[in-house]
This record gives sequence, C-alpha cells and structure tokens, in this order.
Amino acid sequence: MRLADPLPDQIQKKLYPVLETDEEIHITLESDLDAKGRFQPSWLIVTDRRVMALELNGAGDDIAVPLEDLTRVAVEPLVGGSCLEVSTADDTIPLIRYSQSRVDVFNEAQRGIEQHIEEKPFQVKTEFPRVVCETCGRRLPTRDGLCPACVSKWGMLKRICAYLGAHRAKAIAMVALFAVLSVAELLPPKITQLIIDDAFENGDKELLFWFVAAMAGLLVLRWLGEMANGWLTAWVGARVVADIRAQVYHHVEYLSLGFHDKQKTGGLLSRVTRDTRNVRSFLVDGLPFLILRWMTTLGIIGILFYTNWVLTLYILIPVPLIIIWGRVLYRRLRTYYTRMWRQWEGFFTHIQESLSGIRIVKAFAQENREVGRFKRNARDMFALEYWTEKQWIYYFSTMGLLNFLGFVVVWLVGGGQVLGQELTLGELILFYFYLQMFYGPLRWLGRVNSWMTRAMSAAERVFELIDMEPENYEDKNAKQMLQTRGEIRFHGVTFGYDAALPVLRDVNLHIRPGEMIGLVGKSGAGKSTTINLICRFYDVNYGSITLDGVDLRDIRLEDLRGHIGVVLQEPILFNGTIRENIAYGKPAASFEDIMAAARAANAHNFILAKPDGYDTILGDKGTGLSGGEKQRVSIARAILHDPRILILDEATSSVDAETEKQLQEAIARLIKGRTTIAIAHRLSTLRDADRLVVLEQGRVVEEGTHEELIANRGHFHHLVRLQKATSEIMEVA
Amino acid sequence: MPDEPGVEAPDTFEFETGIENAPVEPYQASEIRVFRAPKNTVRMTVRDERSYIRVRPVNASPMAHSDRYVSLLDIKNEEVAFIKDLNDLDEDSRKVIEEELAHRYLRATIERVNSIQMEYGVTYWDVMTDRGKREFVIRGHENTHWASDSRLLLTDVDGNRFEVVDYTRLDAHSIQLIETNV
Repeated sequence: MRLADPLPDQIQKKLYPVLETDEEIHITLESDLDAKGRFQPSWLIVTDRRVMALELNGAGDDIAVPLEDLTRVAVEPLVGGSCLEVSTADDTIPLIRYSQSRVDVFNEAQRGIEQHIEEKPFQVKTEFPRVVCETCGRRLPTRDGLCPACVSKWGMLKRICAYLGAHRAKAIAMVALFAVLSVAELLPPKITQLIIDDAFENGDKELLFWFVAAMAGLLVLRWLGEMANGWLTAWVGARVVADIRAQVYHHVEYLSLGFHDKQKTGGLLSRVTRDTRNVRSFLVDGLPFLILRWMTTLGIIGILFYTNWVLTLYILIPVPLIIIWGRVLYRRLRTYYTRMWRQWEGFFTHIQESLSGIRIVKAFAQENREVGRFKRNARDMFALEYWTEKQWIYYFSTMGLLNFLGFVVVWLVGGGQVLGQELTLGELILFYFYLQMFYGPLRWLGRVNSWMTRAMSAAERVFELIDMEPENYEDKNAKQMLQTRGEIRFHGVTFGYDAALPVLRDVNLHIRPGEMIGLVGKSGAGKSTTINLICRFYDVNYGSITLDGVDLRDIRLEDLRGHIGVVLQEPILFNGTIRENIAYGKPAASFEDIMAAARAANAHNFILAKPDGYDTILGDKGTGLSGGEKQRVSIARAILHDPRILILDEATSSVDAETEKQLQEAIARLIKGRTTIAIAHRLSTLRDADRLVVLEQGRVVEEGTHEELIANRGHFHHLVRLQKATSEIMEVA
Repeated sequence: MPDEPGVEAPDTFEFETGIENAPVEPYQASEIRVFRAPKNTVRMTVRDERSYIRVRPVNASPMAHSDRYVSLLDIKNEEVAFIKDLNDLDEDSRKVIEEELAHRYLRATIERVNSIQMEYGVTYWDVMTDRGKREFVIRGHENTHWASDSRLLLTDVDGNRFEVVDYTRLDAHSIQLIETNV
C-alpha cells in the first residue's frame, strides 16, 4: 500500500462498513482542505473498486464513485490549490480539493487512479521532497532545503573559518599576533600602578626610568603588532572572500535554468557582491576585533581578581544588565537589518530594470514615474535606516549610563578601601584604567553581535547558493558520448515547469539521424519546451528522452550539449568582437575556420564592410548589428560549433525578404547532414523539413510531410489556412 | 527560451465536435441563463436558443475587483459571456456562478495574526483566516506584496495565497505584528 496517510478513527469507522470484505485499499491521502474549502482535513480513498472523498463531519458531502463508472481522472488547477476531478459518462465530479502544498502527492494519486481506469499496473512514486525540517519540525523555506532555524551561527562561522584552512600559516600568525597585542594592551595600566605604588612611594628615580622605558617599549611593540596584524587580516579576509565569491559565481553559472527562471538578476547580483562584501567586512573588521577584545577582557578580569577580588565582584554587577540590554535590542535590530537588506535588493532590481528598459521608459514618457518610484524607495530606505540608527543611539546612551554605574562603584567602594588602607592608590588607578578597557568592549558587544548577525545572514544567503544542487556536469555515472548519430526518441514524455500543470503530455517522437523536423503549433503548445528538454535544460517528469538509445540523464552534460547547436529567435550575442562571438562555442578555432563559418552563414560580406571587420566590437546584447546581421552571426557561431543536432527557434522571423533569402541559404547550408529541429510560426519556412510534427496542448496530434499534412485536411491544414487568411489581410492593408 | 512556465495559452483549433463556437462578442448577463445539468456540469443558454455545456466562470480581475467582471469560458477557454455585475443575472444563475467562483478561488482572507516570526529572510506566519487557522512560511519580499497602503497580499512557499484586506482594521495585536514585521 502506498500514498498511505494514516486514517483517524472516525474515518475508519465510516470507511470500513462500506467496503466489501476482499476490497483492497490502494490510496489513502489526506487533503488540507475540506469540501467547503476550510483548512480542515479530508481524505481521498482509492480501493480496487471505487474512489471516495471522506470528511470528518460531513456525512452528506461524502462522495463515492465506482471505478467501473470512471472514464477519466484529471487535476483541475484552481487559484491557490487544485481539484481532483473524476469523470463518468455524463458528469464530471469535483472529488476533492487541496491547497498548493499538497499538489505533488495528489498528482501521484491522479496517476494512480488513471492506472486503475486504464487497468495498468498500479505504480506510483512514494518519495516526495522534504517540506518539514526533521530536527525542529518547522516548515522548510525550500523543498529539500536548509532549515534556517537549525543552521546555527556557530556552524556558519565554522564554515567561514574552513576557508581559512587554505591559508593556515597566515591564520596562525594572526592568532599569535593577537596574543602579543592583547598583552601589549594589558600591561601599561599595570605599569602605571607600579610607577605610583613602587616608584613614587619609594622616590626611586631609577625605577621610574625603567618603568617608563618598558611602557615606551610596549607602545612601540603594539604599534608594530597592529600594523602587521592589520596587514595580515586584510590579506586573509580579502583572500577568503575572493575564494567564496569565485565559488559563488562559478556555482551560479552552473545552476540549472529552472533556478535562473525564478531568480531576479538584481537579487543574484546583490548576493554575489554585497553579501560577500559583508562577509568580508566581518572577517577583516569584526572577527579580529572580537578575538582581541575577548582575550583582553579575560586578561583584565584575571588581573583585577588577583588585585582585589571584592572590588572586582562589585564592578561585575552591571555586566548582566549590559548583556541583557544588548540581547533585547539585538533581537529587534536583527529584524531591521534583514529588512534593510531586502530593501536594498528591491532598490537594485528597480534601478537595473528601469535602466535596462530605458527605451520603453522614454518612449512612454514615464521618466517622472520612475523617478517617483526611486524617490519612494529612497524615502522608505531613509525611514528604515533612520529608525535603525535611532534604536542604536537609544541603546548606546543607555549603555553609557550602565557603564557609569561601574565608575561610581569604583570610586565609592574602591575609594573607601583606599581610605581604609585595604587598597593602594596605584591599585585604584589600575581599576579605573581597566574598567574603561573592560566596559569598552562590552559596549561594543552589541555591535559585534549585529555585525556577526549581518555577516552570518549574508553568509547564509551565499552558502544557500553554494549548497544548491548545480547541474550535474561531473556525474561519475554519466556516460561519455564523444560521437553521436543524432537519433532522438521521446518515450511517453510528460513535463511541466510546475509539476501540476503539464506542458507536454505523453509525447512520443522519433527523430532519425540527419532528419529535419519542423515543430508546429500555436504558442504555448509546447514547442519551445520540447527543445528545452532536448537540451536537458530541464528533466522530464515522466517517460524518457534518448539520444542514440541512451537516456539523456545518463549522458555527460558536457558531451550532450557539445553535440547541440542553437540558433535562437533573439540571438544572444555578448559584449566583445564579432570574431569572439562566432568562436564562443569553440574559442580555440582558427581565424580561417571562423571566416569559413561566416561565409557559410552569409555573414562574411557584411562583416567585411564594417571598418573594423571581424574585430568590430559589439555592445551588450550585440548592439551595433541589425536583427538579420545578428541572426547570421549566430548562425555562423552554430556552423563553427559543428553540432550533430541543431535547434532553430524561429530563426527567420521578422526580417525583410532579401535578408530572409540570405538567412534561408545560410540555414540550408547549416542543416545539411545534421539532425535538425526547427520551430517557426511562418509555416512556409518549414517547407524544407523532412517531416512536420504538430503539437497541440502538449500532445503530438499530427505527423508527416508537408504534403501529407495538407492532404489530411487536419490541424495543420487548418493552421495553414489561418495564416493564408492573415497574410491576405496584411496584403490588402 | 522557455515558454512562459506554467499556464498554457488557450488554443484556438477547430474541433469537429458539433459544439457551438464562441460568439464574436461575448453575450451579456441579460441574455444568458446558467444552471447545472447534470449535477456538476455548468451549462449556459442564450435566450433559451443556444446552449453551451461546461462553461467556467473566471474573475477578470480577482484581486482588484473580486466581486465584479466575471467571464464565462467554454471548454476551449474562449469567452462566451461577460458579466459586469453578478446582480445583472437572475437569482438562480447568480447562485450557480457564485458557487463556482468559490470553488475556483481558494484565496484565504486573514482575520487575525497570531504570530509572525522572522528569521534570516524567512517569515513564519500563524494566522486565523476566514477558512480556519493556518500556519505558513513566506520567503523573499517579492512574496509579500502591498497592494495598497493597507492591503497585503501574501504568497507562501508552496504558492498558496493569503490576503489582508485592510490591516488597519484588524485587532491591535495583529496590527502591531504586521507593522513591525512586514
């Protein structure tokens, strides 16, 4: 029995009397919604005889349908959830509704019921991504992801420090210098005490001289130590962050398209730059400060206890107050720092968006509105920053007051002890100096805490990226495939970007080596998705795709994509010369090869006409070239890459007739001898295709040559007719 | 390169099914009647002459105008009728459409906030809604959207939707939580 959620007693009491003695229960699944849509559980039950929906207290609402009456089962997407629907000969019954949280399990249930209807063996997936943290039971922010509550700050710190391992010698030197520095900082007050108590008391000039010399020596030592240490920490900090940043960027490049679809570029940018910088500032400024202060503070407490433990205890009285106070504010400020970061991200995204869309902004004369949006953003930012700083000031003034309490104690209690001859004057001065050094770091403890928090949450965002599963280029089990014949088969492929909404349904397709296939269908029929799957930008949900009989998932990604060349509707060119752009997929290509490719792509002539020829520098996205020119550069790129499998996505749309002729020629040369999959809205451009495949709502509905399909008078014929009508209208206009 | 992930665009192929095609202009509320036959199938007749089986009401603007502007789509997802105001329909038709809309739109309205915990950019919510108590998690500020100064739209990590119609009219505790955390 699978997909088996435990049934409560009441449901069992309801269920068992209904069932026949030998009836087998196959699925029991808990929904988080009841029939009225309230957040109350209800249950889907599937046996080998019937499907049922049961509720705790809704006898009237319970539904049961015998399996033999079912003709179809489907998931109907709703807004904020879905509904499992079953159809009988004359009606479609909404069986059970569930929220978005239960979509994946109910999808499997749908498959299970479908298998019952079609009398196929009952086989469903039972492993689903984790949604709840195993340690604390909290909902996870990403399926199968990290639980932020269980990722401890110390764990994070340890992880950052692991990066120090590569620079061990310098790290050890750093710690040693810290020790020297803290001694150099601790000794001067002690010497002051000795000057007062020994040199002054005995009127010993020579002793005074030696003490002052020691003091001066310590100051020089401290000066040298600070310089060396500053140099070291700066180097190590910058080095570690550079390491992390390189790793993040490397990782981002290798993350799957599925991830990039969901991410805002601004957010990513801010993670790669701002977050790593925050980690750095913590490593360079925060951490050394923290270590040095802790060492010094421990030293001070030691010396004070040794000098006069009673007075020391008195001084310690305000400490818990200071720490509690720090914690209270820390909790509140943490929230505001996270919000400030979010605000920043929004800021970045807005600036990026409106600047990259500046043409549209200007064309619609919306500069004012964009400026207004920016101002609003800036104002919110101001409010937030102001509030946060205000909290700090409040915190510090109060902290000052608590500190002052300590000094009052020293003068009151310590002064009394001096009068009672229990404490020397030098020791009192010693206390006074140390107290300043002692409370100082305590004041900053809150600051360090927030530095640390800021750095840790930045680090967490960075590590979250690093921990994400990248595309598996280095899968050890994947097979090498240096040669391919270019035979592609789809075996019952079902796929959706959101598993609940399949874009391709049970697609079977056989593309023979060297064949040119044209994919035809309305937009949204699944043409681009088919191509995305062949490139393995996404993995299929069900079924499989094979290349030369090998499942794509078993082929080394690098090999697979090495065999595929892509020419897109919107050719993407990079900032660089035309030469570099043509050689993008094969940087080692010789210049002769590059020119040959450009010739074959009908690009050679227009390139020569440019003043800088092949060395013409293109701006971002290939600015400086016309649409048709960009197309031809991207065709040249594909020709040079020399793939076995070629993908043409609307390569000839929106160009004039002359350019189109040139492009057609170039494409004809390009596809020769390669397995080609082409998408075009303009059906006439697919005339050369060996076979056309018509997709409709994610299914293959027709397949055959141009002539066959026209003769069939089916879907394709209809599409052609529609387009003819449209072009006639266009001509009249 | 990907299609817009998720929802499929409507298809306009002709089916040889003998079903009425969608009208050039959608019918108006005064021309139509909506009823169930059989029990779970919504039918629409136009002036008792034409009939469309299995029509589906959708809100044209479910956020801004959740109580108005309802379109009826046929099985090909083409608009066959447009209802500006549900009150323009006869009583029985209106009831059927309201039931169907309630079935389709599962957004919950938050009536009280029990707690909001914010940790590392993830927010844990515990709320009381018009559909009962619910706990959920929100990630990233793009999922917390202020539709106006007081109206808040939330999308949790699974894609469930929650709405605060006017947070200033909630109880003091909820207001304070929203103000300090959102």
